[in-house]
Amino acid sequence: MESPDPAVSALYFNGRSSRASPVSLSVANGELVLRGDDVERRDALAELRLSEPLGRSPRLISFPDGAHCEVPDDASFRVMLARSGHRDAHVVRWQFAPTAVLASLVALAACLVLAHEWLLPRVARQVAARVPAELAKRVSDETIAMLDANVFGPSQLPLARQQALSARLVNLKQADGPVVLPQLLFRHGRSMGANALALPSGLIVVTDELVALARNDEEILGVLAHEMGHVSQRHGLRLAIESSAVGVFAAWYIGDLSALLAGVPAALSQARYSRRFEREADDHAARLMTDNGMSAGHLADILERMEAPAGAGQGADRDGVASASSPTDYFSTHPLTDERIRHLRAR
Amino acid sequence: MRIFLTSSCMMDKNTNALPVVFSGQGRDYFGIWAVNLLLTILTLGIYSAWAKVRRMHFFYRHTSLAGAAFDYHGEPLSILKGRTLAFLMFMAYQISAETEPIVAAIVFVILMAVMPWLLHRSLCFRMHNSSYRGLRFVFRGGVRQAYVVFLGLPLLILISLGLAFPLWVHALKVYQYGSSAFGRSEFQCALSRAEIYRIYLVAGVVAIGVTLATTLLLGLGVAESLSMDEGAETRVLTMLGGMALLAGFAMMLCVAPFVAARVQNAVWNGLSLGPHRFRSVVSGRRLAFITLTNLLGVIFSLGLYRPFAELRLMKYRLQSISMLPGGDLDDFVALAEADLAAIGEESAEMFDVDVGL
Repeated sequence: MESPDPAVSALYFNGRSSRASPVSLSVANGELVLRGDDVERRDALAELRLSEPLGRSPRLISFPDGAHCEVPDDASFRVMLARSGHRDAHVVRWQFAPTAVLASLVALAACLVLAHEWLLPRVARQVAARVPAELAKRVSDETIAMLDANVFGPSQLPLARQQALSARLVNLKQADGPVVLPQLLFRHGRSMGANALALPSGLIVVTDELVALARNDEEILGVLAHEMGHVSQRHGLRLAIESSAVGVFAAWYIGDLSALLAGVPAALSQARYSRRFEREADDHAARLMTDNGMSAGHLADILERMEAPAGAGQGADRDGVASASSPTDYFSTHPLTDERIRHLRAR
Repeated sequence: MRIFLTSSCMMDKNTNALPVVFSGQGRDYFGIWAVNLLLTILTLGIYSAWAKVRRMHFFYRHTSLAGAAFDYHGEPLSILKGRTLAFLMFMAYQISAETEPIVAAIVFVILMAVMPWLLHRSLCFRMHNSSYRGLRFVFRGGVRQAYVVFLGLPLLILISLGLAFPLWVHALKVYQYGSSAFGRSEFQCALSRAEIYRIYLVAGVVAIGVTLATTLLLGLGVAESLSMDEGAETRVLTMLGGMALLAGFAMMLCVAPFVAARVQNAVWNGLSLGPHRFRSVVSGRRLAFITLTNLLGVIFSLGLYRPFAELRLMKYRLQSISMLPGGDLDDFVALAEADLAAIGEESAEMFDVDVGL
């Protein structure tokens, strides 16, 4: 003989008016039995909509005829239902099981890492390839105007020397990949020191200090070939797309879209190439040098000198050819440059 | 900023006001959030419809008034239908944008023409699937009015260079709240245009002040950093970014919470349902404090605080509302079947399009 469950008290609404009547509930033979002063009904459990258990909220029951029942004490009702063989959906059990929640968190973190490390670079490459040339040109022109106003001074290099270097650059044979039509600009680097940088439209800026630092033209060409690698692989645009995507995601997640204001322009103008972009540009430079009968070692030579401490007169301070190593950087890139030099020499 | 705070402290204790009570707990919501987010990602977004239903259930069922909870009846498949439609429309626009500009323009016009109708369906869906004490809410707003609110007035905002924005907010709130009904009883929304205009006027003045202040700071920062030669360019950029961020935060803390608080109070204090009235006493300062601490919480917990933050904001906004009953809450009556059919409430043809209204 099965002991009957103690009845659970609830509020019943008939669905036609908002009047509440107190009732007691019990479950017998797969049926929900509801008894009150002016109501008594039996309904098969299978025909009712039993809301899922949910934290401290009351359990709600909807009847097929629109009637509604509210069970404040879900704990006792849950026991009664479980005894009648009712099972909650898997998801419901997971939501309140600490191990399942923890596992979800770990999996979410894994998804986030995967999206950032694998998906985003691929999407950014696709999107960068579709950026129209006019847009790339506008971004580049704005950036160079800003740098001219704030950083660079006019070049003091003789015009003949500038033209000679430009000619050697334009005459470089480009074997593979999209052909880049480089346009060379000379500037006095000032606080930027010996450096070179590439803009998405194919504009390559070389500082007088870099030209002075080079022992021969091949070294300069090595640096320029590296910058052409950045242009041909669209690194500037890819970086801007990647960092603004991260910015949009973070702003959306935190729930404040105004943070975007800060992130996007900063990402565009900083042009701080990531490790893998430097590596790709080095490979591009090495191929270009070899194809044109020069050794990739020249690039390694000048890289080494740019990395050398400021005793030599010109320490490379900003990214461009040598990776960033100014004190504002939050991770040192010296080991990275050493590794790049070794890699170039090994070719 | 004091001007925002005048209405918040006039709570009279001697009425039989029925407060809205929200009993949801962060630790319960956290599990729901984590499991449902993961399932949504693993199913490439399809599960999001089910996740939304669970989320709505959590918020509705933890909200109670006079000892009875609210209930949500939306079906995941209806939500999935709406989301699929929205996705297809978005894709249609994306694809057409890559072809001829004229094609893209035509697709855009078609989408704009359909959107008010979709938003109307969405409002119907949401109200129809909300219930309290076994009675459904109903949205009785007309489709023609939806075109005025969602297409006509936004165009007017463009033409008037933003001056009509408060007018639109007013029309939207009156349409949304004033066209709703609970069973056979209709909500009345007595919201004055002047009040909404006053709120946005003050907000506009504060926003201009904040912008001027940050621009001034920015100017000083740039001047100072340029006077130092070494590393000037990085400093200028950092400064620019920092100032834009500061301006954004300032708007977020000094303007948005106060506007949200005052609009919510204005809408609910002017709302009535038969003999019953409502009162909302959201404080802009408190809302700004919650916004700021939520932001810090999310950042320093590496994102894990987000469900708690969402819950906290919702709890505050809900619990600021109370009902001033003008009679017995047992006296509401459901619409008859014939009335339901007359206003097109057959749930079969319903679907939900997500809108942040």
